[in-house]
Amino acid sequence: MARIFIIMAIVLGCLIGAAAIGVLLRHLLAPILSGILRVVQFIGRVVIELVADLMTACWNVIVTVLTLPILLIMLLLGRWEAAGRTMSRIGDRFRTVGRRVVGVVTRPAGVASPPRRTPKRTQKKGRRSGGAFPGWRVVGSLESGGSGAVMHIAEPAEGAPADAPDRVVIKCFDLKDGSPLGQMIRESRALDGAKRLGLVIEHDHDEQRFWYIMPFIPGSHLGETLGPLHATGHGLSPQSLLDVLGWSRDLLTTLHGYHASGFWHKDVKPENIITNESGAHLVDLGLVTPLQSAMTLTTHGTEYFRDPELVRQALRGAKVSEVDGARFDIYSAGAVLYYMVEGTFPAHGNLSHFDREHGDAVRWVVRRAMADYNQRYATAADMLADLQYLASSTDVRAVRPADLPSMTGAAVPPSPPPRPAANVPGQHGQHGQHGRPNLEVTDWWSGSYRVNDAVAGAPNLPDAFTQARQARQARLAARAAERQRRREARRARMGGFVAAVVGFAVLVTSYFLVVGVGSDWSTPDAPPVVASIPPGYGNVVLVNDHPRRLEAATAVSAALRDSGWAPTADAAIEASFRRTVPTTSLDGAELAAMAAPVLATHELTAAAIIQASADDPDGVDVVLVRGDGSERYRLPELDAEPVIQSTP
Amino acid sequence: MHQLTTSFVRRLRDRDDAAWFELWQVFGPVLRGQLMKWGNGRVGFETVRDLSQQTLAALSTSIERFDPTRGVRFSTWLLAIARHALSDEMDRRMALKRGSGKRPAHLNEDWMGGIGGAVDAAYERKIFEAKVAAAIRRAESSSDFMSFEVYRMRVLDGRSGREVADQLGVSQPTISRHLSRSRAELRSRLTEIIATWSFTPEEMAEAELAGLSSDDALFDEAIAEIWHCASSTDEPLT
Repeated sequence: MARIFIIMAIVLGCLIGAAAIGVLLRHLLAPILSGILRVVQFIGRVVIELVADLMTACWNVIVTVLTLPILLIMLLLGRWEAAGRTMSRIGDRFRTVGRRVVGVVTRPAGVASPPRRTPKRTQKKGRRSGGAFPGWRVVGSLESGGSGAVMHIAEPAEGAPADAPDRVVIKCFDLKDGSPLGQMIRESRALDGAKRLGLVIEHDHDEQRFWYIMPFIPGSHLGETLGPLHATGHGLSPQSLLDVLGWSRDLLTTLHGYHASGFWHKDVKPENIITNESGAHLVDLGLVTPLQSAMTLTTHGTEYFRDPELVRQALRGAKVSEVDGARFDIYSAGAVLYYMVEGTFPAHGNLSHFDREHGDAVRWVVRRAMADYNQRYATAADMLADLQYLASSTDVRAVRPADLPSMTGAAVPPSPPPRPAANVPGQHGQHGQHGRPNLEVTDWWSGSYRVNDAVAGAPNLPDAFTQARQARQARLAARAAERQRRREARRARMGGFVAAVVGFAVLVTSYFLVVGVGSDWSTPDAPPVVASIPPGYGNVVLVNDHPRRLEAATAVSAALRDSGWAPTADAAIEASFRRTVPTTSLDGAELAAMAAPVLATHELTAAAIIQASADDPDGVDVVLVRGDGSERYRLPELDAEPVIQSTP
Repeated sequence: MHQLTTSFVRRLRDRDDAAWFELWQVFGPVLRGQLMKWGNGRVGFETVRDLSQQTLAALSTSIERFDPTRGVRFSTWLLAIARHALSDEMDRRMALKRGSGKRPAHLNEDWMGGIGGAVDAAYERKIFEAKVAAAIRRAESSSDFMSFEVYRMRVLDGRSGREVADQLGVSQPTISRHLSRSRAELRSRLTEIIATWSFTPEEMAEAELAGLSSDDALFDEAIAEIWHCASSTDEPLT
């Protein structure tokens, strides 16, 4: 029983010890090693990049020296423009190197520096400052797209609405800046839809300018965000893949909202998708078009993300209402998903090759979205269901296409409401889609009313102010959640450290406990030390197993004689006894039973088996074996052996 | 010459936008690749795109003069126009450097990647691959989505029948049925494309030489090989 307890204690101690060491490695050594690795990586990167940049700088100096005579000749010949261009190029070279050298030191190791979508404080040379926008104060600008408009960042000023967001984007077309009138008219047409979707706060115009104001979404566009994720060149990590699927899901949710409200975006591409901690946001409503528009379809859009079928239909002269614009958005969403997972453009459309390993299901979703016009996902909701399934799975790569909701026919999110059929008279004027809002007075006395403008099943889209407020709250909530997560992680680390220390202490304690208890329990029951053997009479043969044979025999003989026994050290009898009785492995009654015939043969009363004590080689144990039983006694230990010194 | 070819040329001459878009889709990538190769690093991707558009614009004004009966390949003719477009661009650049064309430019074609603009075998192979890719694209468009996906996974991606069946949750006989249906569609589209875009007997015979007229297994093998060659030479992206 005692041995089982010992074994269990040892096993338990080992387990606790192993766990403690594991926790110790995880929470103490791993961060230390990781930190050392980061420092080494940082130093290596700094050294390598610094050397490379210094070499580039040297090369630039050489080029400059060689270029100077040419520059002088240009100046002498009066070629001011060419000389200016040359000087500008030289300046650019040195500026680039300077920025890189600064970036090497200031940037964290292994992280590319994606340009942030932050406002610039300076305006482009030759551009108008944008003038004044009543109620808003311009604080910077963003890079303009291909529309010819200037994008200002503005903050609320005097006269701004009370619930205005912190920052807004003002897209301003100015005829003096060369903004094309056609683009201005096209974007103004999109405003109705954008306002309905809550994307535009307000819009206005004067004699020269036309502008509209949208909530500002901080973050970086998808192209910039994906750069570091694909930096390794081996595809996305499992976590990055989940992030990407989450962004794609956000995109599809937004597109579902557009389509359900009767519009399509028409320009879904990575540059128009802003990512931040709250997810992916679709921006730029320059091409937003009503699905039932009577306008002729145009080929606007971006190559690789624009459905070729759109171009074919546009070249055919089809009207927008004759095609399903939502399907073109779905194609673009599929192309964006391809771009996200592969890190490159879908150069061959739906037949683009997948080089990275993301599992068949992801490929299936991309190909289904980019399939032929009539065979792709019918609605954004269908694609959204597949993406939700993928994003919620623990291992995306293990999901089979056969498991996707679009294949199994599982429940999908509510589809958008049926849109009015193309060119059906009477449909366009119906409320909720293209007509005036249907107001229902709820209190005639106070004049309060509510708007019955929602179509059954259509998403309840808040206005722009509410959206901006919600976005700000979401940002704050995300930051608070991040802080809480870090706090919990810190606590977990501290808890792990404490657990490691406690475990280690338990390990050490259990070790000593086991050793101590084991030694106590492994020792046989030690008999009490007696000064002499109990009295008796008769002949007793000595069976001597003690290492200090002579001294032990003398001591035992003396003790026996003192008690009335007659000890004898007859070698023949001792040998006979040893042949019959295994003196080292038997004890008690069994020993007595085996010894009885030998004792009777040699007319002995007893036999005294002399052994060294188990825990003390100098101790003397005597097992006195008689015909009816045996008893163990312990005599005082022998004196220490004398040290024999050699004489010179 | 095949009737499809003559009707397509007629559509081009009639300024049929759809025909021009098809031309752009089929030969645009090859044209851009060739211009990029000739540019030899001196022209960027955006310039190449502009040049390829200029090439098609020039083609549209001179399509009346194209006479297929003279035995000249359409692809060769297209390449000659592209070469002139690139020459014009380089001349314009040189003139700008010298000061707005005050002196006549010397036509130096050394920049053309060392091949002097001659039609090489690689270009002709690319043209053929582009035709096969167009046929695959058309077959993908006209086939049932599931059938073509089976063909893509089984032939183009080189997966086993059992694996495809497991991934798509169907039986292996179903996979075989989808496969044969897609293959038949692809054969039909390939015949159509080759007939439309081949102007000489050598071009007509290219498919047979590439093993596309053989039995199913060899046909699939040839398609996969050509497709991988075509898709591995992606356009340069910025």
